[in-house]
Amino acid sequence: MKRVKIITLALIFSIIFSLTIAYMIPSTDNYSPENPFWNGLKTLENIVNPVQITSITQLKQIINPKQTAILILGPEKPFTTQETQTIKKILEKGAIVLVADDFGQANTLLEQLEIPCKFTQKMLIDPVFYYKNPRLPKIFHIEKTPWTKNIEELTLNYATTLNITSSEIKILANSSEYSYLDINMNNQWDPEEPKGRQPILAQANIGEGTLLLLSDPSIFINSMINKSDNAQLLKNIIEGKTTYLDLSHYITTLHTQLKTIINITLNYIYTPEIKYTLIATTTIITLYTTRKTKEKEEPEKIEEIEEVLKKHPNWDRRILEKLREWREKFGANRTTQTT
Amino acid sequence: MKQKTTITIIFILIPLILLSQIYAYIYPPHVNPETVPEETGPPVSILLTYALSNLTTQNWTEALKQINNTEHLYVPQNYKYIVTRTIELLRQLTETLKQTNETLEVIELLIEYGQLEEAKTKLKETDILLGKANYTLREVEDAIDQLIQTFNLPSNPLKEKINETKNLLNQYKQTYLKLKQTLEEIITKIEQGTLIQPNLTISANTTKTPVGSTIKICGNLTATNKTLQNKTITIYINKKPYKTTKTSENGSFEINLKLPTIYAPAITIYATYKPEETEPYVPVTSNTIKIELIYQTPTITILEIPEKISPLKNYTLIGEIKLNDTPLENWPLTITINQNTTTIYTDSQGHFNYTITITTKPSTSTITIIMRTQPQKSIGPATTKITIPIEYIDPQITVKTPKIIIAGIKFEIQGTAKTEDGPIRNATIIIKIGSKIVTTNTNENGTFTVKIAPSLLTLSRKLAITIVLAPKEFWINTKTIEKQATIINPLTIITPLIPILIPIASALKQKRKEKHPPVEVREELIETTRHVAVKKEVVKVKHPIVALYWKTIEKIHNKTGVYPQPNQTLREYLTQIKEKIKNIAEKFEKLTILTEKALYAEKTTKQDEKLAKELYKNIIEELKQ
Repeated sequence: MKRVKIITLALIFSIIFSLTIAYMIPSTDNYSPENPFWNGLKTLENIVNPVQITSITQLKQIINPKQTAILILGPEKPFTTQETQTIKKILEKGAIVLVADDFGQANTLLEQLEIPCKFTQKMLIDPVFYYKNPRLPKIFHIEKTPWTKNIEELTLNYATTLNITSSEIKILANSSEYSYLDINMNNQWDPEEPKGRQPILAQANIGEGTLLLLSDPSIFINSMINKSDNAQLLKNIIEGKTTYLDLSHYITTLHTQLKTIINITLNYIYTPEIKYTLIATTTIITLYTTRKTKEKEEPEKIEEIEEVLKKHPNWDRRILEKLREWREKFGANRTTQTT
Repeated sequence: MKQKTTITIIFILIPLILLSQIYAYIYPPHVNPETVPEETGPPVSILLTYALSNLTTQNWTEALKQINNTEHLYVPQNYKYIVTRTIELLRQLTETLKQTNETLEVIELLIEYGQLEEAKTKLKETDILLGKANYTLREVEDAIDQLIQTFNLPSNPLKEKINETKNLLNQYKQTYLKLKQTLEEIITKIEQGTLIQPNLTISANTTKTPVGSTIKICGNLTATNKTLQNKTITIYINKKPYKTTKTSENGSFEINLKLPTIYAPAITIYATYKPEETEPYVPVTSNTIKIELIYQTPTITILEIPEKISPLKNYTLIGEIKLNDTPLENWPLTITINQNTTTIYTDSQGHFNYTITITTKPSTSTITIIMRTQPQKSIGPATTKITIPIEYIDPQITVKTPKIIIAGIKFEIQGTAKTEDGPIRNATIIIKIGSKIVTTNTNENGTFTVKIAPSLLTLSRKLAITIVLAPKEFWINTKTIEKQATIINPLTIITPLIPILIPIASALKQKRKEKHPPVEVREELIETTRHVAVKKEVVKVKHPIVALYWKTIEKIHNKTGVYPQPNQTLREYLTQIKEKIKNIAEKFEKLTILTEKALYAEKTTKQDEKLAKELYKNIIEELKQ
């Protein structure tokens, strides 16, 4: 019985310890606001302090869309019709939605929103204006708009371009005239590959709202946000607004999933009802267990006297109890010595 | 066969599973910029080649733009100076060449118009510029050589462009020399007398004139004291050809010039004469005369203007137009508000009235009113610009919310929205309580009432009730207020009590049982060591059968006077009294067996207890008889 107890306790403690370790180790997922490493969004989180949404339906809770900015960065899962409708409704009511993507699933959203624009999902290369490597192109053909206020230059990281098919979409920034799309990924321009200025930032008006399209979500990761004026673009978008960051379209690792579960659980535990129920239950269980142990010890003592009395009903119980008391007090060894 | 199928499935499945990883490998969303390998050489050669290309085609704007763009080039820190210096030199070269080109064009024009002295001065300037350009070009060439060596750049395209720039500079030198030669030839010919430099002078009948008036310009074209007759003279006003005239027989000309309606302080007038190629004359430009224009500018005075403007309301703008304290009667005034222009006229007192009404949402928070008087003859235009801020009204919203809300029970939120002007009608009211959002509108009185039943799943807590007022009128600001309330959910309050109540209830039940045990018998142990039996209350026997046995013993003792001895077993006692209680002996034996079972056996059943009770009753009854 005791061994089972020890194993159970050891198991419980090791599970708690493992969960604590898992909870404390930061996430390494792309675009994770908990990730402090180069590919995370911890810096963005510190600048913006966004409301993290794990389901697009949470956007239905927004009551002041005109004071709202929603960031959808590099979605890895396609958008459903319901999600699109939710985003459309909030856009129509005056929200600002930034959809930044390169090789992800944002086109599913644009298609459903019937926006005459698509992410080309081909690598943008600029052999002249870049940071360290032509795959990190610099953008400086920037229109003067409120969104691009105080922005002289942006640095992208493995970006793509926008394929705009209507004049309704306003281009806000273009790549340089030397840039091209490296369709066959051979790191050089081939005659069939589009070259010259390519749109990378555009604006579409939907109802009272604004949909901003950016062909590289990586400009906001920790290692890129402080390059050029990348952070300024973010600040211009979120200025004076409540910002929501969509986390519902990422494929997360097991570690992150576990962290999320722990977080959710902790959130539940922190609610007064659960917290106090747990405290009460723990107290009761502790008290109950202690009493049980005591009760178990007591009957053992009583049983001994009862057994003697069964055999000798005429013996004095009090004398027997006294004898047991002396035995416990002076110990069995001493008695043996005396006899 | 089965194995083959399994292997095929595995071979198909593995690439399918790895597809997303393969895609992510080919198209990673990003790389770590700090660990990404740097390109061996900066892409400066491409940009310099493009800049030099534009320079050689004399596309100065584009060339300078390309040079400015080099600021965006990524250059490793160690090489930054070399690149920056090269670019700086290239910028200097471009600007010098541009200036040289412009000066050469001016010289050409000056010679064309016979302004030989000015042309001579400009030629000297060009000489200096060419020298500077030549020197800078050499510096650029050296700097580019340095770049080629440092970054191991392909030298051909850049060298080619440098040579093209050298050619351009040579071209300028040639033009310069050609122009210098032309000028020298003209001067020589003039000195030799083969070419005559005419003299063209003009004068005006006035130096001051009202705008749009006609002035008389007189002039003389002479060449070595000889009058040149019937020659075409072009009159220029503010450097633009305005009219032509012909010299008379005595080489003079006179022309009435109706001045254009220009409301400027002064205008410049000069005349030129361009001889035919066959004529032995050099082109000539006359002296420049400056005519001051007389016109008066009225004043627009704003007499009444609103400090702020609220949309849809009418505001009156009152002002007057005066000219030297004299009111301008029936004077046209154009008023432009948000690109809409209206013309109004002053009254007999020179006053004007304009009603401002804003019906559409302006793009800015102010409106700009531009007022411009129409010029008439010698009265020039006057312009005044005023900016009036639009008054965005902050609404007042009062809301009554309960302090305590019980989950599952409907409660009411009442409120009123108004401005200083009155209630805000038909405004949207959005109320958010926890995750619940309710939308309603204000009525004609600006009031609203909402009944909300919080879900029973809502947890008990303090929560914020957010109320957003969004009026239809764009000039009334949206207002958000927050109220605090405590929501109490009876269910969630009871829930934590359950684990406390259960053990308390069970503890109470047990206590109650202890107070009223099912059978409580006090056993009396009879000490029989002495002849007189002494009753001694000793033990509390809990077993009901044993208790019944002792009760029976008590009765038997009353009848027989025999108590069981301490050294006697129950059976020994039974044997001892069996003869004395013949009629109940059998029943007592059964009870004795049951008692033994109760004392020594592990367990007794309910059945045993029932039987013991029956036996006890029967024995008592029979003993009574």
